Amino acid sequence: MSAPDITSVRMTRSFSWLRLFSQCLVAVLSFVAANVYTYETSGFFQREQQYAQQVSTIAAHTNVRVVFAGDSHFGVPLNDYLNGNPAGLAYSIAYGGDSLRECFAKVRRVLETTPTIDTLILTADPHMFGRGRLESSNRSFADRYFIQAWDRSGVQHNLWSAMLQQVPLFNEDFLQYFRKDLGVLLTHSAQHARAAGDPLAWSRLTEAERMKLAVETGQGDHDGVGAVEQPFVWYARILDLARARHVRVIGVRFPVHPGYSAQAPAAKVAGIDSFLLSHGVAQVIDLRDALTDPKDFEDEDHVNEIGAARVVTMLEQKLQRPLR
Amino acid sequence: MLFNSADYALFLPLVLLVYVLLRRVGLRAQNAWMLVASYVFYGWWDWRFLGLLFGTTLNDYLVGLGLERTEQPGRRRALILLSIGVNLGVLGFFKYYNFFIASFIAAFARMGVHLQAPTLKVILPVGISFYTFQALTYTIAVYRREMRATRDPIGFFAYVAFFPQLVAGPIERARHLLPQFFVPRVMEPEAFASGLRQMLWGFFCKLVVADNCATVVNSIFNHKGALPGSIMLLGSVLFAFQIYADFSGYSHIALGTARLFGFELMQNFATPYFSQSHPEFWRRWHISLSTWFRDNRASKSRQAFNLLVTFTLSGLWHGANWTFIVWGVLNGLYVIPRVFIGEPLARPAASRNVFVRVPTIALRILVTFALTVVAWIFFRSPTIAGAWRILREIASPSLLASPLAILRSMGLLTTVAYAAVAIAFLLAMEWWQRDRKYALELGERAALITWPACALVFVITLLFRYTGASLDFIYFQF
Repeated sequence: MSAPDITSVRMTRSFSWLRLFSQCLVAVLSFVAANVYTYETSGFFQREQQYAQQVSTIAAHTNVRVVFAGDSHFGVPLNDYLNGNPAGLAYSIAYGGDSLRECFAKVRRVLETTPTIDTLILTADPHMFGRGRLESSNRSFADRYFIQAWDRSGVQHNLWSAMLQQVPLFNEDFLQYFRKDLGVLLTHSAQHARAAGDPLAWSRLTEAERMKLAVETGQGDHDGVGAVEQPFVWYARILDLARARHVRVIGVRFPVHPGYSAQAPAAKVAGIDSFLLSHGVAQVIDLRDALTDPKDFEDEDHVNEIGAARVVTMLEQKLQRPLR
Repeated sequence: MLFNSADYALFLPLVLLVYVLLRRVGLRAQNAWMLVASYVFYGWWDWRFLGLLFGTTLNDYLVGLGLERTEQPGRRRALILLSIGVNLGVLGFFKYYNFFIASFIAAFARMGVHLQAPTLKVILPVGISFYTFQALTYTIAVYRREMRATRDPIGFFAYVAFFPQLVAGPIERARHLLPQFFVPRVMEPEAFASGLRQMLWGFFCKLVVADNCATVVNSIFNHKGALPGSIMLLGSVLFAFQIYADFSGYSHIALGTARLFGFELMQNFATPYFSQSHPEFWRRWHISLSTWFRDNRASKSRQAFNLLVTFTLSGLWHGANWTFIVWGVLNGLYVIPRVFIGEPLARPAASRNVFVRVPTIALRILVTFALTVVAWIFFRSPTIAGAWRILREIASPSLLASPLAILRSMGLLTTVAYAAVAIAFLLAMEWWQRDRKYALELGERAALITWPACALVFVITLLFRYTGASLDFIYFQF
């Protein structure tokens, strides 16, 4: 085996530009078809459609005065509970996995499209200020709102790069989802799933089991709470938006298992409260310990539909206004 | 600007479109456009260093003109020394200033003398080792009267800054690339298609092989605690493929891009990991640099010395660190014995008996690869002590420990699996196309074989590319 000649050029076959263009056209059309197929069939992009629809559907809720923004701690109990009623006074744009960056993008969008909003109830959960929320799995979902606002501050590289991420097969978050699915398929390992359809599954565990799960999840979720600057920057930007539109902001922490909340250092939580109140949050409502009955919970850090009704009632009392 | 960025996906078609339209205007317009595009490409990283690129290029252009106009040996020698001095001076300052100052202080400190010397916060301009060496090939060639100096500043500036290979090579020879700026480039559809295929193969190498390997390699080499020899060996082998796929991937994209514009660049890699000896490895690895260094001819004993010096300098070229120097010396030591004893196992490797030939060739490839990996450990480690620690682990009984549990605990098992499959695919494809000049040229029946193969590579690249924080090409730092 010898190194090939590196100086000569060999062109023997006839090959026209027309043939090249036709081959490229076939390649492009195949790529387009593959993208359409991926977009229509992938669970990731079904989530994306659901995500976008949730934000756009607020336009049909003409009475909305209060909007909730946060991650699954808000979204799991509230989305079904509040958003099904087009005449309701409150609407949730919260979505599992959102970081404060995604909250900012969506809040800006709904404040632009829904001028009736006068109150924003924004997550004040400590884990939103941790390292685990520096990168959100919904990053590319929210990119569309940054592109629409022509705002490059929130996108990873630049707007052009964010636009390319909107092409399904160029979307890096989709690829991670795809690879994870493939890994599960290849290793036959079971995915963690909440006990969908059984709101009482959590209550059937023993307290020791619940505590173990809560501590484990709490430790992971609260890694680096208060130690990273980025979430504070996004929070401050949301508050600036609200201030510019005279929208009142209430920080809320939803009920969780005590084993979960204990993993957030008290001093860090106090520091977060101090930041929120000094930057324009009217009130921080901490409901982490407000529910103790396991029947109110779906798991260690999410209330179920039963708990949701109780939490909304508590909020109505605290805010002294109806939300339903 | 990175080849694997969204910016480049916009930049390249735009530059190409204008370039094609400028054909009607003329060659100088195309060269001027190429120059502008190349400066934009370079300035995208840090526009402040455009002045440095411009200054060194201007110096070499004027030196070339000066060499052309004078016949006096003394003046010619002064001019070439000026060119070498400026290029190597700039390179030395930006790349080696702090290294030499720190080494100097450390050497005196060992003798009990404590010196205070200023260290500067010097940013290394990307690609400086490449473009200074490329510019030098011009002035040296004019000095040796191997080519005439050019009077066309636009063509010359475009040659030095030619964006496909500006920041990571191949280090082109002026005699090869510069004349291409002064004749109309012929854009052939076949060459264009071949260029696209070569770029595709480059993206596969970089995004799938190199970046997936990099995730594992970085986790292993940056790990704070002790890891068993089996993991260290895995990390070292994966680094061998990471650096190869990363650098050859860049070269493939560079060559492919240049072909879209009608330029031919020199081949930089030729399946080096199938080499059966180190001299062969160095004929196939970073060809443009090794041939740059391989100019001197001397007697055998002198040749051995020259080889050692050349490889040491080659190591130093890569960076200001003793680990690179050790890497260079090691490679020199691998090559030198062949000067005196020739090729070991050459006869059985050429045997007609397949049962003798194939195992011998496999053994030779394996030994060459193993020695290469040992050298790469020094290349990758931040310190020599760190490299020794890895080698000690690999030589310890912990080499036999199962790596699976640790990889799983580090969250690397799936990525290792992807990297392994990607490497297997890389090697299979390289073996298939080992005697071809261009990547993804798989046979004469192009439509039947090449396009399905390209489609497969495209799909693999799309679905299995690394998706974390963007990783620069390794050779950008050199």
